[in-house]
Amino acid sequence: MTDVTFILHDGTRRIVDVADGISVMQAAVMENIKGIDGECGGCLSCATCHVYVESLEAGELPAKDPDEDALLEGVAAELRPESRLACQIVMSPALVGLVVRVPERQV
Amino acid sequence: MISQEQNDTYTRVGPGSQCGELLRLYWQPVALVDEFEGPRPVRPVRLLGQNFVLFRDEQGRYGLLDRDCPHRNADLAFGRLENGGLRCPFHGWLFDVDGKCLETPAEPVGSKLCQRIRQGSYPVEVRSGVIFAYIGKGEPPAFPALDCFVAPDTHTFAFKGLWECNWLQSLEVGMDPAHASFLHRFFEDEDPEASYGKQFRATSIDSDLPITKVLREYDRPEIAVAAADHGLRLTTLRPIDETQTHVRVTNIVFPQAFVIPMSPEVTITQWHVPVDDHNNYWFTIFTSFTGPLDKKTMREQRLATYPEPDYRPLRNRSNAWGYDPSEQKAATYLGMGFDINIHDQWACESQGPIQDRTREHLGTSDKAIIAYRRLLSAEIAKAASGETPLMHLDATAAAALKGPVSFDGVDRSGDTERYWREGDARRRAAAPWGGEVEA
Ligand code: FES
Ligand code: FES
Ligand SMILES: [Fe+2]
Repeated sequence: MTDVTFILHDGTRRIVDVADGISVMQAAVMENIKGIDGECGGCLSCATCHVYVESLEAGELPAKDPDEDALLEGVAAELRPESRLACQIVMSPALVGLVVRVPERQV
Repeated sequence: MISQEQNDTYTRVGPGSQCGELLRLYWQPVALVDEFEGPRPVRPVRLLGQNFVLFRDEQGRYGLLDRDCPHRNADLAFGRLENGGLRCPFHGWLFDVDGKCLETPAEPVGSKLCQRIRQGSYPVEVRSGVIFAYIGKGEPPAFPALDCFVAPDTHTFAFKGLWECNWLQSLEVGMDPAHASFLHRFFEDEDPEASYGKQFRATSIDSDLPITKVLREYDRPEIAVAAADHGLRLTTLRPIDETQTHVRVTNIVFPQAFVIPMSPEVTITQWHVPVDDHNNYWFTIFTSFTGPLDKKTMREQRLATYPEPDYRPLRNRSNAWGYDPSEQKAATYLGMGFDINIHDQWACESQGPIQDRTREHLGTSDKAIIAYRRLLSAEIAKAASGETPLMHLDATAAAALKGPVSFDGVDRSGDTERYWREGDARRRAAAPWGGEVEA
C-alpha cells in the first residue's frame, strides 16, 4: 500500500492509500475522486483520466507508451509537460510521495 | 465440535477466503465432456463463488472465461459461437478461448480498444470425460497418475450431480465408513447380478456375501486412518466370524476427492466441488479394472434422477427427497428408495446449507473426519504462508502418485493388510492398463 495525494479542482487534498498493482485511475474512481473519470477502464482509449503530476519524492513513473502520448494530444484540459493518463501509473511501494492534480475538466 | 470461526474457515470458499485460496491451487472439475455433445457447446459454470462461461470453439478448443462481458458486463453464457470465439450479443464484442478480444464492431475504424481488452481466461484440461479448470494463482500443479486418469477412455465413465449444501459436509460423508451400515441398509438383498452400475450391490471379493448383507449385519466397524502421500487411507474391518473379516479400503485424495470401491471391478473417484458456500457438484469417475464400461447404460441410469442441463436431482429438499414412511418401516432404513446416492444426498443436505459444527458431537467412528479436518487446517495454513500444500504436485511427483488402492473383500488369512495389498496387485496385474502401485 502506498499513499497518493490528489489535489482536487477546488484545492482540497485527499490522500488515498493504494494497493500495489492498482492504477492511480482505478484508485481515484473507487475512492470517488471527482474529476477523474476513466471511462474506458484503463484501455487507453478515452483520455478521461488526465492528471498533472505535481511531485514524486522517490521512484520513477513508468515511461509513456506512444498510444498514451497520442491520446494526451486530445485531452480536454490544457496539455502540460507534467500531463499523464492516470490509468498508466500503476502503484508500487517504489513510488513514494506521489502528488497529482486533477485538471479542470476531462471532456 | 468446533468454533464458529473454525467452521467458517473450513466452509467459506469465495475469492479471498482462506479455504477458497487453498482450493484454487488445484485443478477443479467444472463440467462433463458429455455436456458439450449437443448443438451449442456453451455452458455457464459457477465455481468457488465465481461465475464463468465454458465453451468449445470451432477448432475444438475449450475456453473458460469470466462470465461477464468486459464491455458492459452482459452475460457471455448467452453468446454467439462464431468467427473463432464467443461473441457477446449486446454489442458484438468477440473473444477467443484465451480471452483475447478479436473484434469490437461498434467502435470506429482504427480503434485500438480491442487490443487493450483482455477477458479473464483460465487453463482447462480434459481427463476421462471431465473438464478440469485451474483458477488459482501461479502455475497449475501436474495431474497425478491416479487410476481414474491413467485408465483408457473405454474403461472410465464420468457423471456429476448437484447437492445443495456446503462442499465439506458432502465430502465428509465419503470419509464416514460407519454410516453405510445404517443409512444404506436394505432389509432384503437384491440379486447382485441384476444391479449393473450401482453401488454396494455387488458381492465382496473372495466371498458370496452381498455388500448390503455385510453392512447390515456387521455394524460396528473397526476403522483405522493412516496418512498417505495422497491424503488419507481408511481401513474398515468388520469381523464376520472367527475366520473371516470383511475388509474395506477407501481413501481421501486431498483436497476434495475420495476413492472407494463400487464393486470388485470398478472404483469410484468422487470430487466435491464447491459451486459457492451453499452448493456443490459431485463429479465421479468410475474406473473399471476388467472390461470396458457400458457408458450408455450408466449415463441413462443416472440421467433418470439427475436430469440435464443442471444435473439437479429430482428428489430434493422441496419434495422431502421422496420420503416414504411405509418404505422406511418395511424396506429401507431411510425410506427414500434404493438409490444409495440419494441417501448420501439427504444426509448432507439435511444438515443445512452449512452444517453448524458448533452443535455436533463426534464419536470414535468419526475419526477420519477428525483426521481430515486436521489435515485441512494444516494445508490452509501452508497455502496462506505461500508454502506448497499437499498434492500441489510437480511433474515428477505427479507421475509417481498412483492408485490409490481401494478394495472390498473378505479375508481369511488373519493378515488383513497383506490380504488387500495382494488382492489389489492381482487385480491390477489382470487389468489391461493396471500397472503397479507403490505398496
Ligand atoms: S482510463 Fe481511459 S485512457 Fe485512462
Ligand atoms: S456488453 Fe458485451 S459487447 Fe457490449
Ligand atoms: Fe454413503
